[in-house]
Amino acid sequence: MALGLPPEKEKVFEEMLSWSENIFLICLGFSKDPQDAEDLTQEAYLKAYQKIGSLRSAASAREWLFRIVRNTCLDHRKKRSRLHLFSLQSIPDSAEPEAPESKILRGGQIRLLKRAVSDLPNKLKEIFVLREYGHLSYQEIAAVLGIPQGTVMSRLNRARQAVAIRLREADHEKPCQ
Amino acid sequence: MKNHVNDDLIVKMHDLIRQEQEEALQLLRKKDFQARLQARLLSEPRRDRISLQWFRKPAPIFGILFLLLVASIALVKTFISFSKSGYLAAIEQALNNSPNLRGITMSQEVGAAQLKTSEFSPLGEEINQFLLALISQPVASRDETAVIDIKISPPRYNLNQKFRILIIEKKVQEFLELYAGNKEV
Repeated sequence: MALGLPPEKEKVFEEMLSWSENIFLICLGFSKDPQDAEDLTQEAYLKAYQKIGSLRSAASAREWLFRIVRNTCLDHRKKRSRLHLFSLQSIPDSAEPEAPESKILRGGQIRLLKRAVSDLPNKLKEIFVLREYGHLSYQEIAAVLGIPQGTVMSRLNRARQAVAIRLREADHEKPCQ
Repeated sequence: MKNHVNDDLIVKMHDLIRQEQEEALQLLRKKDFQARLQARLLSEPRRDRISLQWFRKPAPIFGILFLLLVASIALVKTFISFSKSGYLAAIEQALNNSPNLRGITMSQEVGAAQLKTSEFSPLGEEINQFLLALISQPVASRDETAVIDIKISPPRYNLNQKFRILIIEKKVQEFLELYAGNKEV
């Protein structure tokens, strides 16, 4: 594919395109909506394409791109919160009305998971999303966020516990409903 | 402990995340995301093509600025010299075409006619308009200084001087006649 970039940048960008599913999943983790995630992925790639001239080294391309993705998602969330659209009610219901009972139950649990992740404080959420959705290593997360690896690990642990507790609470509330 | 989370719950959480991801990825793959992304990238102009690449290379920028500076200085100099020479030429032409100031009072009509029939540049035209106005102005209404500048009274000679001039003129006339006669022979 010819994108009109200098040859060395073209090669780097093609490699970046091969991470598109990772990026989509990170955007999914932030937005909690597949359509929004797709738009955010496109937006992030577009930014990367336009700013590729500022990328100093091909070795840091992955961190550079994930930083763009993270900033794009945070900007999107800020815009949404300003418009009061990024509320819990905006999280789409993935369960289909005609689906079997098990599928409805699973859909409900996924919706709970989405709410639990959405409710995380930003500092915990970005680490949780980068690790659990983007499958980035601790080292990569530390580089993207500019924090020590130890901080990444401790925050990730706190985030996991917070999400798991929310899921457990939801499980316990069910019989009462 | 209330906040203690067992491994089963973490496993369940990971399982739910995986399911959520699989569903979303299936939707994404159906839409042929890669192809649409590439099409969009190709349709978008790259903003940093001009700005970043150029601003990272100071040498061409300074070179262009230097050339522009030199060109503008040369242009200004040419304009100034042209305008100077243009004015000087116009004044020179006007003065060349204007009547001899010493003869203005002697032959005002001739001078005026000469001025009217001559062709001038715009500046020369203005100078001649001024001179024409000066010539056509009645002597009585002129400013004293202007009269002094323009009006030159004929020289006054005594009888002896007049006699000498007549002798010289006579000699010159004889010489010219003799010279003309010799030439015919």
